[in-house]
Amino acid sequence: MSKTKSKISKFSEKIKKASENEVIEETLKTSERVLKRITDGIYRQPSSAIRELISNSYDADATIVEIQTDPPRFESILVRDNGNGLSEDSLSHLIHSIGGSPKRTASGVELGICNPDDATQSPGGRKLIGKIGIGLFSVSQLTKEFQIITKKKGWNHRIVADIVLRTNSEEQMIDPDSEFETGSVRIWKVSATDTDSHGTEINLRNLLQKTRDDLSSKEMWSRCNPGSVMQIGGESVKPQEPPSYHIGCIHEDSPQEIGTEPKLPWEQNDPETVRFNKLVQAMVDERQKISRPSLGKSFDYYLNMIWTLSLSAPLDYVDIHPFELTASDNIKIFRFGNELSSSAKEVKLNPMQTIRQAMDLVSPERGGNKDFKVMIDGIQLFRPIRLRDLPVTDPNIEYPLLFIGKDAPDLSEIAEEIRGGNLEFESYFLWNHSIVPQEHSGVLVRINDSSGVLFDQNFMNYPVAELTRKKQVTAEIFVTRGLDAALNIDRESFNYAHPHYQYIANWVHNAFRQFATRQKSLSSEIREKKRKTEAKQQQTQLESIVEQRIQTIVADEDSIPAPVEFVDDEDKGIGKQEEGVISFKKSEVFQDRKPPSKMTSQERKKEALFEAK
Amino acid sequence: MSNMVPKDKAQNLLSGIAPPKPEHVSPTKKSFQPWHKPRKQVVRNKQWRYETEKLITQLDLTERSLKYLSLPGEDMLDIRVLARMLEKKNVKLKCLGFNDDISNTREGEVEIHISANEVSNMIQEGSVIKIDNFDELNNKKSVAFRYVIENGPFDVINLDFCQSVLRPRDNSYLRSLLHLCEFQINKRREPWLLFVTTRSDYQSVREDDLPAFWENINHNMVVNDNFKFGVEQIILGQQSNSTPLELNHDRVKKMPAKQFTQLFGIGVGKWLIRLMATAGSKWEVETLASYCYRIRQRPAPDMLALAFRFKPLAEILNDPSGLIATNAQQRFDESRLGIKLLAEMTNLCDLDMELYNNKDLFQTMMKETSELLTAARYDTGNYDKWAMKNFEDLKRKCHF
Repeated sequence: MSKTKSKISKFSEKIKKASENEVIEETLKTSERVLKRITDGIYRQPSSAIRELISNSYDADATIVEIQTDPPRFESILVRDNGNGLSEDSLSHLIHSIGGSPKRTASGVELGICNPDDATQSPGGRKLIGKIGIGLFSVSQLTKEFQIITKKKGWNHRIVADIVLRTNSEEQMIDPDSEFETGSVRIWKVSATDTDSHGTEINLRNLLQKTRDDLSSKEMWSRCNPGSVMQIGGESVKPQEPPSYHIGCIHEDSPQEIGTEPKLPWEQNDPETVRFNKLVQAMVDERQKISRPSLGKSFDYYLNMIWTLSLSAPLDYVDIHPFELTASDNIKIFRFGNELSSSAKEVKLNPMQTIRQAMDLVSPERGGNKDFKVMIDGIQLFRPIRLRDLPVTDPNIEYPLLFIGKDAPDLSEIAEEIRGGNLEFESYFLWNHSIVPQEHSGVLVRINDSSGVLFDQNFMNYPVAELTRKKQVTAEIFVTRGLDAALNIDRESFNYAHPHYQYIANWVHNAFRQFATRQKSLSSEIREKKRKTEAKQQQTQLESIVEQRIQTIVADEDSIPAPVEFVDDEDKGIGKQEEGVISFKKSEVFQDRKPPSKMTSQERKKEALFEAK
Repeated sequence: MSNMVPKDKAQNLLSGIAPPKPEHVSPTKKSFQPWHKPRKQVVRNKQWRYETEKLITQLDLTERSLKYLSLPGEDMLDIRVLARMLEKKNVKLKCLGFNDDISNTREGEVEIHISANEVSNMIQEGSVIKIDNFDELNNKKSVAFRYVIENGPFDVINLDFCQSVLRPRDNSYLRSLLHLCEFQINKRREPWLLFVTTRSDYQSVREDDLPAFWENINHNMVVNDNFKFGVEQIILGQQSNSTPLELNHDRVKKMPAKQFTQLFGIGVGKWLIRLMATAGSKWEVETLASYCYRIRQRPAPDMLALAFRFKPLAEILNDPSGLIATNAQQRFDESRLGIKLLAEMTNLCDLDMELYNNKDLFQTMMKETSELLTAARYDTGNYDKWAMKNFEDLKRKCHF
């Protein structure tokens, strides 16, 4: 048994044998190399750490995750789930192997955090999305002290682990591979009579000031403060307006007092299930004020954060899954081909048939128990993507276009050692003249229905400019097999060199090309159709005018209609009438036309024809 | 010119960078507290649980939880008792908890977290237990009050104070209670319960507040003879004559402790009734069965467990033009409510005496308390011995 494994095993035994309230202390150690990678640097936002904790709860088969962040004060954060809980072995492993996630490995199976039949799944059969060793220590960007309270079903005790982290110091480094003290942990057990209950709770206390400032949008509020006068380039800049929606802020001089009341799109007595829907609707309604609403402009950091978390997590859609749309949803549906020469073909659904049924789609394929509810401060989160009742703004195409695709490429021509296994995915691209919020323009890649990367607005570096079209498309790719290894450790970016990423990028580009071609031709078809309809309407109107005029001149309906001429002035018209010709003043029938001064020969012929007619 | 950065500027650059030095917490050795005595279980059962059970028959809880605001402390015994009762009725309890001005040690916070984790399976998700003190509610702009707004209005408010509701230092508890009542009557039209457990001895009231406090009772004695009779003859045991016996500082100072406790209870109840009388839409404040017991081991009780039910009165319209004759009357009857209050304070149940006279009840309460404390992680191996010893000491010192 390796030194580390032996250490882990011994510590685990110590915890198991400890009596109630007996405190076991341990120093947390890891190599500086690992530490630098995963603790103090990789997560840029508080929301990243919270996202990782949600992922851990999901992987532990939780059906409910409850998060309390104490807005707008943010003194502490609580994340509580009803998942499987951490065993003594898992806890010991966690403490001794920061950054070394046992998920998806044989160790994970031994520790009971992976399914014995498939190490890529949770014990309950869910496809794993996080890496526990990393997720937990992502909280080091939020605080240096936190506590874990955990219990497994059947236990008559809870385990409490109190963790204190140290900040890195370069002065203490001798050898980058030698172990570095990252902090210490105190563990004890407390008795429990609720043997059937299970779950894990993480309490973050004494949040770092930077975390609190970020969560409370401190910088934004300082720019909104009427008392603040900023100088930029020698000029005074007025305080800016707060965003349309925000959770308010605490009083500058009195941190237990509200300084600015929140402005939220839901009512205080709205149930938790309704609040997020109202947030999404509020964003859509921002179009009445701004042509391209954005999360950054309309929400403060906190609301932005819960929106982002709801995009990342494996949650149900605020409306329905895109693949559940039917023919009655007023949307035109096309299917992508997977060849370079493919073109998108229209799909006609039978009544009541869903896209999923018509095209045999499986996403989201989360596996295991699909119930997963995330609540933050009394708001239940849903995926904030709606494909129905979208705003119609295009003068030509009055309905959204939905393009569906799927692929499971044969990667056998790539050598096995660099192939990275098989790849399968499904996707949709939605075109609408207006994508709200604008941050949803782009392609979002989900692995096992989860994403930390969010929308790539360049469509994985699609080489053609297409600036306008890119802003009008929102797309998701549901990867059901593969790509996981291409995800960088922070889960917020990909290794672009990985074959799976490269294939998907190629596929996306091919898909975008098909969409663009289709959309252009559809647009053109509709314009031509409109033009013909307008022309026909004009002709009918003209004939009606002529008939009316004829009737005023000729009493007998059956008599042969007189010739019709268009004249420039009235006198000529009177003269023509006397000859039995029905005349109309040109200016009364036709729009004033001033032919261009310089005409091509083609244009001159047209003009002459017009005059003749 | 010096290029040195002024010292205060250097301090500003450091501000916000360094968090407080991170320190570990350790488990607390839990020892039994005064509120773990069996008598308190009577209050939990016969007042909190019983009245809540009655209230839920008047509320429509088919699509919502019962909303509960309390001062649960580290053990959350009140939450455990109510949640168990409600579970049998398929109703969830949604809690908002504050602190009762106990010194917030880090160890105390850990115990709160562990208890909150234990009860989380019994209560509605979204329940919040805060470390904020209840008296933060005396400021309507406080973050604590924000939690009230977000989580209320409440069906049951349970203020189990360790000290007096008329806290000697200031009136922040009373102001917090006023704000809560204001919030409640503005936000709901269904009945709700208020439990107030408070010290009721002379030392627990600020002398400066006494005149105003007694004024509520004095006023009722002037306007209602029955009330006057009740206070003078029944409570004070004095001959009643045409001039009301005015309660003042000198008189109450010499009063026997038990009478003071009863009058204190009347004072709190009258304060609430008069408060509601000032509201635009009227709310009846009905006093429910209340209890007293001893914190200090003295012959007279010095702790009150009061209960009130707030019920909205129907609006009645009168036609000022006289087109339609109505004989609608003002139904808010302050005197009637005062009499009910008086009756309950006259019949206050002395829990210590009750358990002294009813051994079976004592044993049952002891057993139930022991079970609750076991669930709250106490080592109850010696609980019975501790409870019995405390009771024997009380009996001896109070000459039961």
